[in-house]
Amino acid sequence: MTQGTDGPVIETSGLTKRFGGKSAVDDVTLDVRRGEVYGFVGLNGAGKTTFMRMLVGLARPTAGSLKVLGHSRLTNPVLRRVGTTIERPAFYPGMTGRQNLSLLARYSGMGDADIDAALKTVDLADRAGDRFRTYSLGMKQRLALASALMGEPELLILDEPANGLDPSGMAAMRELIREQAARGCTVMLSSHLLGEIAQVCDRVGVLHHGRLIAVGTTAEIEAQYGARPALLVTCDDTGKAASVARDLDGVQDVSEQDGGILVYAPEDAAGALNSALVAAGITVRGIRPNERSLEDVFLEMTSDTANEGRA
Amino acid sequence: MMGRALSAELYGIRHRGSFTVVSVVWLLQIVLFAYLANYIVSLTVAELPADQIQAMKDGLAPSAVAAAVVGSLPMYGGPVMIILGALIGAGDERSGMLRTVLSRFPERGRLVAAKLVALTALILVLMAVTFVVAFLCGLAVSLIEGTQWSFPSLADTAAGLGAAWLIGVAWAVLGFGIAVLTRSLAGTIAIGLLWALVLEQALHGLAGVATVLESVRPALLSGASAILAESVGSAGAMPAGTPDAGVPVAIVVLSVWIAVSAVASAIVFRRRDVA
Repeated sequence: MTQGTDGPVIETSGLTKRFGGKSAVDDVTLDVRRGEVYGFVGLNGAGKTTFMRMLVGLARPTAGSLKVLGHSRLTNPVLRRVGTTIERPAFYPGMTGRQNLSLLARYSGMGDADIDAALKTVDLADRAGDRFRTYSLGMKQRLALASALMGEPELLILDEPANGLDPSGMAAMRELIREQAARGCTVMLSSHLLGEIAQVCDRVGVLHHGRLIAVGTTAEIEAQYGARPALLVTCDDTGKAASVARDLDGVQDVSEQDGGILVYAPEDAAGALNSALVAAGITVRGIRPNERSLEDVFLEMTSDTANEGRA
Repeated sequence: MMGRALSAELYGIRHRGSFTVVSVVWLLQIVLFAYLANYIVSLTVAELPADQIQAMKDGLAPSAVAAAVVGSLPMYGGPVMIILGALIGAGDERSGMLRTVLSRFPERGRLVAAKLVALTALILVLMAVTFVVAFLCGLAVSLIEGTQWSFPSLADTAAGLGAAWLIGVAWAVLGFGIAVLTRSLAGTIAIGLLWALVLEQALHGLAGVATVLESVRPALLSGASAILAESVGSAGAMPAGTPDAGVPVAIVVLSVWIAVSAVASAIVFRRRDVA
């Protein structure tokens, strides 16, 4: 029943999905280890959903292979151990939340106890008797999560689970993911916000134009992509300031920003930079180290010019 | 494992209001067209020959329930059955529920089989209810008219129910097949109605002037349905007349329609990506 439990919970090799001549997922090789929370991050249209659809058999790979829970053939007993939400929550609108879960539970041979437990976990038991069409987007997301949690799956595959949730809902979602991980469940979730899923993920994979361009802990990714030291200078003549900064020793690059320039140089170059700018008649209002957020790192990673530069 | 999917499909049929609505429409058609309209005509149209009026009244008797029900299928029952098939074939596409189901139950061959079995069960139950409703209508007419009435024979009822079920399943599985191919409920209903009410009826009508079409008529769903309807006592199930072929031919034709629709939909459903 639980064959293949020693290897990765999800394993893909060269997984590719093409629509016509366009690759939605391009040669993705990754593994998700048992018990970890793996974040799959990428801009909208990066291929995250297509990748997840292949994982649960909704789409056939054009090339490559995949294994889920050690099985390359996705059968009913395998997916009974997997809880999934793919894209927007989809249920019969005229049926109540409980009826929708009851219908899904029948496919997997689950019972009322599984439904009750899942509804309680997502805090939707009070509204389970209401029709799905009357739910808010947040409630629909919670019902989708309840359907994924039925039967305490070994693996959760959650596609953009925070969509439509308010801040408290997002916090509750993070807490729920931590709880599931604590009970030993492996979680793979996607998002277009690296900063959001970095809070709960052990490792992150960054998908861009269908290709996996980075994998690691958030610290590893920050170290790899965000380690370029930079100084943020606010001044009155950014064009002239950029020109002056480029001529200084130790400056790798300069980019103009709103109301200032970003000078890629070590922090101890701040003094020389200030002197040079003042000597050039530029009014310097401030110089400080540029503190880049994880989201800045992600945006740089997924900018096409940055990737062309690395290629 | 198919048992679980069948249980889920039957649960869905019971709780999705659309099946009830379409079934009620069919029952209303029986009450209005097979009984009320004919009864009013028999009372009000004085210029009809007496034997024809008597034949109409005989057709409204409780004992003639099989003829009334099966005779309603070739013209206006078939399209309703197509809609029922479409609801099972594409109802979960529209809501996106198919994606939710398949990510839990990936064995698509079994899922299609469960859907088709659920559809045939639905048609069987619906036809049984239709017979009861038709019997009550006939009983009401007899009581109003003050005429003697009797229950239909068991053999006539069984034959009628079997014919109604086979005809209903053939139309419904066609609707299911079109729905799987088009992935659209509205599209299926449009294509189905066009097929049933325009194309097939046009072919029946044109057979009067192009005799080569006469040999095609028994192979049409409505043609084979009319042959079975006539075999259980229904006269005039089709305005163009019943095609000239025997009951075994009609049974084979309907079975082939069922098999082709089911196999084609299973092949397509198993191979394609689900959005």
